[in-house]
Amino acid sequence: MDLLSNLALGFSVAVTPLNLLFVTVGAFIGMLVGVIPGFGPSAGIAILLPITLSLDPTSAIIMLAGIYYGSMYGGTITSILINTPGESATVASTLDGYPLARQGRAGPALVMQAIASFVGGTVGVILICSLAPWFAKVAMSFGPSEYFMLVVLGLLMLTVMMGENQRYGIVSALFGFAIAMVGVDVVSGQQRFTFGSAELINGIDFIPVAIGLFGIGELLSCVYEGNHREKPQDMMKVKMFGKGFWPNAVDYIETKWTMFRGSVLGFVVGVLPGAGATIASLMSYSLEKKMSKTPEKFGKGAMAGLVAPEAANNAASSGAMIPLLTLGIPGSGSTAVLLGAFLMWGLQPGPLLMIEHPEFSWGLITSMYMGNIVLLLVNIVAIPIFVKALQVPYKLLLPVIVVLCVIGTYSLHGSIIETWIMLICGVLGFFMKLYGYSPAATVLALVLGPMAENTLRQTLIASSGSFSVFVQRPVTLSLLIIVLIAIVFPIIMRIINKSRKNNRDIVA
Amino acid sequence: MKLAFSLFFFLFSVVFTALSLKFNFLTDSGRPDTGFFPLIIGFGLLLFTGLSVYHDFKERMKASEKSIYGKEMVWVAVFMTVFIFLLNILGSLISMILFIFSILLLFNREKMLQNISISLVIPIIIVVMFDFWLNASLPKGFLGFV
Repeated sequence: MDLLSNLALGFSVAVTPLNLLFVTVGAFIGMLVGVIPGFGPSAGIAILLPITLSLDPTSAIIMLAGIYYGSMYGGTITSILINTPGESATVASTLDGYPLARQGRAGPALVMQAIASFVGGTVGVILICSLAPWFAKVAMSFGPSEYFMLVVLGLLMLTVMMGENQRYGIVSALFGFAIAMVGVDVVSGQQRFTFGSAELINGIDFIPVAIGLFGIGELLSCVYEGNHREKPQDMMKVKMFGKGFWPNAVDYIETKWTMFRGSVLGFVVGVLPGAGATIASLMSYSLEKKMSKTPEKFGKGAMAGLVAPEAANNAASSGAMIPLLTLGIPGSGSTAVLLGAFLMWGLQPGPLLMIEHPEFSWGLITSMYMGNIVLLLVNIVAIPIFVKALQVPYKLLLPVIVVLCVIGTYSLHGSIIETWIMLICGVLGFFMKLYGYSPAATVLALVLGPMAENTLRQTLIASSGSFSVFVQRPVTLSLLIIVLIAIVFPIIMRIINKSRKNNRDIVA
Repeated sequence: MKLAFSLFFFLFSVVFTALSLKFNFLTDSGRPDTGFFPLIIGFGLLLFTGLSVYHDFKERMKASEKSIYGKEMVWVAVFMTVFIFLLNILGSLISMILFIFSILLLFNREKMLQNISISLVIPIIIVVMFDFWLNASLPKGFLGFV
């Protein structure tokens, strides 16, 4: 009953003409963000954040969340039509999406991906509704030691997922923590790393850093890779709404369980910190291939090979909202920017958010239902618009993106110093991307830095300086064990792989 | 360049750790003080950036990361720097017009009419959106208008 009354409350907040408009605008912008290659949801949310400043917090977050999950829908259009994923979470969708388009089945592929995304997003939202209150209840018993371990685990998982670049990931996260130390120490009141500047007393705001690292950094990367010199790519033809545009009965029958498997797997992976939509879509693709009776069709235009990652990446983006809303701990760059947006409006995500601001929490969750319906319609009806958007040359978009980044950053606090910080972070973000560092880990650590410091200090004050508290509390101990496994397991795997390789070399 | 970037992070770590040493690690009663967390971060940074420098130094010959568009990327960064520098001098509208036009002149020289239209229309839309609709503060130049 609680769930129903919460949903009723959420719908009463979300279903207003204004919020429906913001959901639609957010979903539409999100799709455009997804369509532009090299321009991910983190950059999209960060750049558009200043524009939402004058809005009501609930409407603003509803719109930003729309951009977040809308980008998952949009990224696939390029995967199918030009074999270029709009963003990393749709890489797996190119594997069968593009071959389908080459077979003249671009229309059914686009419609099926929209339906799979809708199912994934909707299953994700249903699971959020059922699980978020439970998560929040469990999180109520968490003390500072648990929160500190959760922050460590979140960042560690993000760096572990970087594979060979783990060391750079750790440097990126520590760099974010270092930037977070600028400002006044809340306990002693002493200034740190401010160099006498009045503008730095309040610390370095995360928005200029996020806009710089994600927006300008990605833009410079695109120029470095020559996107601005590319002519609009030859894309697969789509017969809009004519014969052959809609999927046939076999497509639906073949993939009906694929959608649900992908959705559940994607959601679970999305909840895990650091894993995210990209890992979810790749895992779902490989699971589906293993379970398929015709695995040889995968990679050659199997509809299940497109549907599985699509359902998974959308469910994962919903799943990632659980740790964000109930613990206040984001698991990716995009959700870190969303957390920053929450904080900007004075909303502290965590177990108390659902109790203290139920209208906001449930309004946001129910807006995701609406968003998925809007996206399904937009995805099918507005395909011609996105196909047109794909043909706008990057060289024309480039100065517009820069101007939005610069003016958006300045407009936050009217600070030219923050605008310079944004530019410096942009250049840093470019080199970080080029050399395999993780801008997402930096932003995540910057947002979580104060929480990490405060919870560690509180833990040690409460335990009179003893670190044994981390093995005395069951939840903390479990998290510590997971952290240790996350550190040790890749090392063991590397040693095993190395010795296997050596043995093979000896045999050869 | 990869090695230089790792060295940059290493130097940052050295400066950050040195500055962190100025703060007390523990209070008189043995509680974590202002420098506690920064020092932990500083030592972590020193360790991992040091390892990165060592690793990148060993592999410095392997790296070949040249892009034919590197120069154009530098031009974009330079234009952005000039753009931000001009914001408080010429005001946001004129700076935006100049910036957009310069970038388009660099990459889209063959379509001047298109360049002029985009350079005029986009800044006007942005000023209307930020200054009038969002009521945000935009930089004013010496002429006193945005």
